[in-house]
Amino acid sequence: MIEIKNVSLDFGKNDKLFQAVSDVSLTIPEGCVYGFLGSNGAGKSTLMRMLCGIYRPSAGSISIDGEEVFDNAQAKSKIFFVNDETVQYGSFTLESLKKYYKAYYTDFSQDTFDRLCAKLDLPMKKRMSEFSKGMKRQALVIIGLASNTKYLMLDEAFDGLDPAMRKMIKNMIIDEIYDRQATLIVSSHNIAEINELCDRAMLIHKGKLIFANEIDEIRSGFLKLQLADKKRVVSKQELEQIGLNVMQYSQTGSIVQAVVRGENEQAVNALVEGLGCDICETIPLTLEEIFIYELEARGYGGEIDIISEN
Amino acid sequence: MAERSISFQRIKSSVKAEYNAHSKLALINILAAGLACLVQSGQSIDMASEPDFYDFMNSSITQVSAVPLLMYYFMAALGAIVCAMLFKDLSNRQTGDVIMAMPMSASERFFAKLLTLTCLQILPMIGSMLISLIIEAICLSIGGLSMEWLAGMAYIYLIALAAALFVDAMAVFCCCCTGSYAESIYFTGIFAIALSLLPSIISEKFMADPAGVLYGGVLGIRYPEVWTLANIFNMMLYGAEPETMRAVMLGINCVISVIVMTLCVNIYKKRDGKTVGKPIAFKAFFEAAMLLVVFTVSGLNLYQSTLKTSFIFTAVAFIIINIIVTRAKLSFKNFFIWIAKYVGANAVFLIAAYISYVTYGFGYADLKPKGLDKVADKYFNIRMSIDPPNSRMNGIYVMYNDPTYFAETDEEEYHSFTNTSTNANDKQSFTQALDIVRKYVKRSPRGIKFFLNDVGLTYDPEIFSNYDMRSVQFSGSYYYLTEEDTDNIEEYGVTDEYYDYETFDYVINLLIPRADAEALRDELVNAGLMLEYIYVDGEGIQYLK
Repeated sequence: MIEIKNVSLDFGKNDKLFQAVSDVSLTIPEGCVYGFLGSNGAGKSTLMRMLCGIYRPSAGSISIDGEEVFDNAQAKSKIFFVNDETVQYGSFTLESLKKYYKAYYTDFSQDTFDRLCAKLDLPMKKRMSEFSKGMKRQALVIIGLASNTKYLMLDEAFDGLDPAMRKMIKNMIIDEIYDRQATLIVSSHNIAEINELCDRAMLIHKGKLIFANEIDEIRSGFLKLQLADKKRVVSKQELEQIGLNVMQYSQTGSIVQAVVRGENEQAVNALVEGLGCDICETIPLTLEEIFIYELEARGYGGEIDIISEN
Repeated sequence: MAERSISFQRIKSSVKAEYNAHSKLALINILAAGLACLVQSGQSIDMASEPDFYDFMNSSITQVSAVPLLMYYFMAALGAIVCAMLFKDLSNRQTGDVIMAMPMSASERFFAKLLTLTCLQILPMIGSMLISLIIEAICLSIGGLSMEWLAGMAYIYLIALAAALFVDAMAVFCCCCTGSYAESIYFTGIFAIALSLLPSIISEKFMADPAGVLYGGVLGIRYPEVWTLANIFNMMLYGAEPETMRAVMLGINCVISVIVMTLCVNIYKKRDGKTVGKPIAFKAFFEAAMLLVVFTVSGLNLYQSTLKTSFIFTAVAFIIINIIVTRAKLSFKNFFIWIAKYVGANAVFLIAAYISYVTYGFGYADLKPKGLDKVADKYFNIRMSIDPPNSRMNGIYVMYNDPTYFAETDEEEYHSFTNTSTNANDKQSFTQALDIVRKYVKRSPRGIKFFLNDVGLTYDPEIFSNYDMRSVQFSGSYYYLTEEDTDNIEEYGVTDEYYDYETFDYVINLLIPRADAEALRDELVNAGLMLEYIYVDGEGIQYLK
């Protein structure tokens, strides 16, 4: 289990101080597939780098199976990190890259490596600088899986892959991870992908954690309301007065659409019935809609209320 | 419980992985080392087979070893690149992500890098040297080469090894303190040059010069002579003959370099991914580097007429380096901040120089030269001259060059005294003369206006007329004589031609009031210690006794 407790990370000093991650607390249980969601520059990659000991947190602690991760070889041996760049491997062939990582990861599985290479048919003797971006990604994922670590972290790992290959790689990862009960942590801008792949997710914005939970729980915490009444238009204030937490409100003629947070469907229906509207519908939100509404609600600059993990 | 102990197994695995990842650098080093070994061994075998030729070459090892030395120096310089590549995790974010996420602690990573550096550069160098020496030894055993030759080769190899380790130490230090590839390379250059010059600058410009004492060879070989890269090159060119003292100091050099490299682990451990890509990881490092540049450049020009020019030159260099390092545009605010820092650094420099000036080189003038016992079995001479201050053009007081003063004093006051000993029993007299001279060392007036005059920042013609200064130079030298020379001395007495054989010398330069200079002269004359004649300019030789 990975435990992130009140972690912050500062860059710069004094008037140039920039807080990339601010007081984030999170628990990543074993055996799950965890998605890191966030806008560009939100702090996903920074948090991942702290998880694998590249950055030392300015405050708080990060532990893997009870061990502090920074500068701890034992803890880091449980994690394999694939970052969002591949240029650093240009001079390697896949064969030499395997040897390189094999020297560092003592549990490296030659069988897994051979099996996955055969599956993807990657050239072993060709320099990786001659690989396409997708091929480099595939190669790194293979190395990551063959390293046999308990936790695998993929930062924007599916970028550059065509849809068919994307699906194949995802299946390959899931099969491998599932077989050995490993934990996958993946960051992506592609929310549909996270929705499909992960059983848990968190949303980070401007370094602050917005939410973190099981995906089903997250989705059940948000609803879209559609209300229509011939005699009047239901205002935002009315919705708030009956106790709804309105994230987004829009009106077209007599039809009102509102996104509300933090309630289950039955409770919302019960509250809305009191308004006596002609039409009242509740529609579940997709993860993508939640992502967009959450960030819109914060206007990319407003004060952010932290929702602690359930 | 976190495992914090260093795992040698992990270090070993990492060395293997990093060595393979940098196989091209390994290949370049092995080729250079192999070529050096091949050429050197070939020459040794060739010379062993031509004994007549050997006699000539025996006295010029550095010429014979030019190609191998060039290769070793190439390898030493390449060390800066090798280090920058090995420490790329500190200068390249992508590489940093890979390396810092590896299951190793920072200490393990660091020592793995040092060992990889050793495998990539130092081991091929040492291997090549050892093979050359073994082949030399075989040639020696079959009678082709002398033991001196073998010792000379080992000595030269030690010089090359010291140079390589020195560059490596600077490179490792700079890599640990910088966060970009370019900075790690050129700061290595700055530190290597500046730090190799600094001991000499301190020794000469902050001690010997303000003390007015140049002990030269009497003190033996001083450490700064060996430390500097420049002097290592000098040794390569001129000092091929093995000398135990120098070899010991080169050994100390190697040890210091290794210690510096090892201690850098403490800096490396402070680094994480946050400073990767930033030109300078630690502000203190940059400020120290800039202070070092100021001390080195201004130090080289201290007590020289070029000091003012060097201030301007260094200021421009200072601003250029700041622009490069901060990746900033030249704004008024930045400009004034940098200039303020530059002025501050020079103020520190001048204060240090002034303290050394008023303390006669931090007490250097009080040191008694060692090695006087060497006089006993050697011939020597003592000479003293009293001149107007301007005539010491090669001394330290070159700024006292008022042409009016010179014209007034030229003809009436140019004294030269010489006493040349042909007798080893004069050793006592020599020491006695030295003791008398040393009493006058601190008669030189010291104060801010003299300091500013001497370092070249101001010129005050009144100083000489008010103080009526004289430049006194007292020098002693000893020289070995061949058997033929000894025969000549017995037949013809000592003549100037033997001065060519000087091996030790020392000089004491004094700038003291005229009355003191004359008192010194009289004391020496009255003690009967020296001075067969006085040479007065325009009047020729006048014998005192």
